[in-house]
This record gives sequence, C-alpha cells and structure tokens, in this order.
Amino acid sequence: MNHIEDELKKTLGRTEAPETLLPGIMKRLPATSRTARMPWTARLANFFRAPWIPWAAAACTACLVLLVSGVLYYRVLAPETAEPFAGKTPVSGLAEIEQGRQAKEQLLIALQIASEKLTEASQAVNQPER
Amino acid sequence: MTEIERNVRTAAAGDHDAFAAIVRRYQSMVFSMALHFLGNRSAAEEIAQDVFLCLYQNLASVQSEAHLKFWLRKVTGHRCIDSIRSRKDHVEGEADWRLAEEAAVQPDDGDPLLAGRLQRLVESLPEVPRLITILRYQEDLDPSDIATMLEMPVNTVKSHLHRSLALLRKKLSSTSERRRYESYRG
Repeated sequence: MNHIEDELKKTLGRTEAPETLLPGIMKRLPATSRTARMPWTARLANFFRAPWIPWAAAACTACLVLLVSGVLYYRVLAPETAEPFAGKTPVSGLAEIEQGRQAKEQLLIALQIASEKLTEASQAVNQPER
Repeated sequence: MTEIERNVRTAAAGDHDAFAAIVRRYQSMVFSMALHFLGNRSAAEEIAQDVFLCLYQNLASVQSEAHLKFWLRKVTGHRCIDSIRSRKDHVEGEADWRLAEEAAVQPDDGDPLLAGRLQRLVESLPEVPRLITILRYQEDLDPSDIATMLEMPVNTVKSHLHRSLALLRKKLSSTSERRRYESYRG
C-alpha cells in the first residue's frame, strides 16, 4: 500500500455521529407500527390484511365447491352406483333373503328327484331280463 | 444468533428500544459515509435519518448481521448519489470550510492540512468513483465486495479506484500544501 492510500485511510476514518441523530430518528418512527402494543382487535384486523388471506380464501372456496359437487353427483346423478339398496328398508331385505333360501331348497329337492329318476332309469336299462 | 440479530427480530415486532440499539451500533458508519460523500454535516445527518427510517420499514427482510451492514452501506451509497444528483444549489465553499474545520480537530497523527485537502479532493471526484473510494478506504472493503454491492464488474471497480488514486495524486502534487507536507515529513 502506498502513501496516498495510507493517507486516505486516515482521512476517511469514521466520524462520531451527532448526538441529535438518534433522537431525530426515533421521533420520526411511525407510532402505529408498534404492533407489540396494539389491542387484540387491531392485531386481528392486521392478521386478515395479510397478503396470503385471499389465496387461503380461494383455496377454501375451491374445496367447498368440490365437496358439494361430489355429494350432488353421488346422490342425484349416480344413485344406483352410490347406494344399491336405496329405497329399500331392512325388513324388505330380509324377505328377499328368505325367498332366496326357499328357492334354494326347492332347487335342491328338484335335483334330488331328478337324481332318483335317473338312477331308476339306469337300473332298468342295466337289468333288461327283469 | 448475535445480539444485533436479536435486536433486529424484536425491532421488527415493534420494539423501539431494540431499534435504537441498532441505530447506535451503525450510526457512525452511515453518518461517516454520508459526510465523506457530501461534505456537509446537516445533509449527512438528513441522509442518515432517511436510511435508518428506510431500514425500520424493511427490518423483516434483514437476514443476518452481515446482511444488515451490506444493506446499510448500499442504501446509504444510493441515497448519497441521489442527493447529489437532485441538488441544484450545492454550495461547495461552505462545505469546504466545515470540512477543513473538522479535519483540523480529528485526533490523527497526520497533517491536518493534508487531511482536509484530501477530503476536499475526494469530494471533487465523480459520484460513483467517490462512493467506491469511500467504501474502499473508510469501510475497508475489497473491490469484489464493492462490485457486489454496486452491482458492477470487479474490473470496473478496480478501474475507478486506479483512476481516482491517480487523480488524487496529481492534484495533491500540484499544490503548495503538498510541498509543505513533504518538507514537514522530511
């Protein structure tokens, strides 16, 4: 470092700030920005003035619309897929089960009769001398 | 987290005492930059007040102590340049007298006449080279740091510094004060 640079460092050294600087700054600070001493109503109002609030509201609205659309679709537009027993009481459901059980028994009896007949026919064919 | 960073946090939440601590810590840096740039104490105080009020409004964006110093130097430099460019009735003689008086009372071991002359010569530099010279020799910043702060190439900063030093040397050597200083230093 040469001579002029040494002299510049001395000449451009820091100077003490005047005593009036700090009070002047503090006097000009906006009093309304002291959020720490605000009443809760004002802080709540400031909360709703936050820049992300419109986006959050839009997201909530979109979710609500999707929810309502989904409910409407399953209840109105596709009732048979959504609720296969819609309109039927538990009592009528039990009657159907009983009817099914009786049909099954009748089918088993019919099969048993058919089996006996087939056995008799088979025996008649295999014993022609009788 | 340093004490200054804690003060920044609490000041951003509205604590004026914490902000006052920040001002006390950096007022000398900001005021000296403005004073060396403008050569006028009242104008420098006005600039310093504006810079700290701007800081108060932007406390939430300050990330660290180093970022705070960077921000203060950058904004002070820009405010000084804006102030010079908007001033139409700049009275150099008045500023020169005030600076000569201040240089005479500075507690350094150099020649007060040379210091005052050098201060006035720095003030006569164009705005950007003047700011670069102040950042280099008052704040002891490297050319790369200055380039980052002023958003210009490092070589441009080095070129400004080189030309400024050459100009200051030339002007100093052409004055009778220079001859007095040389004989004094012997």
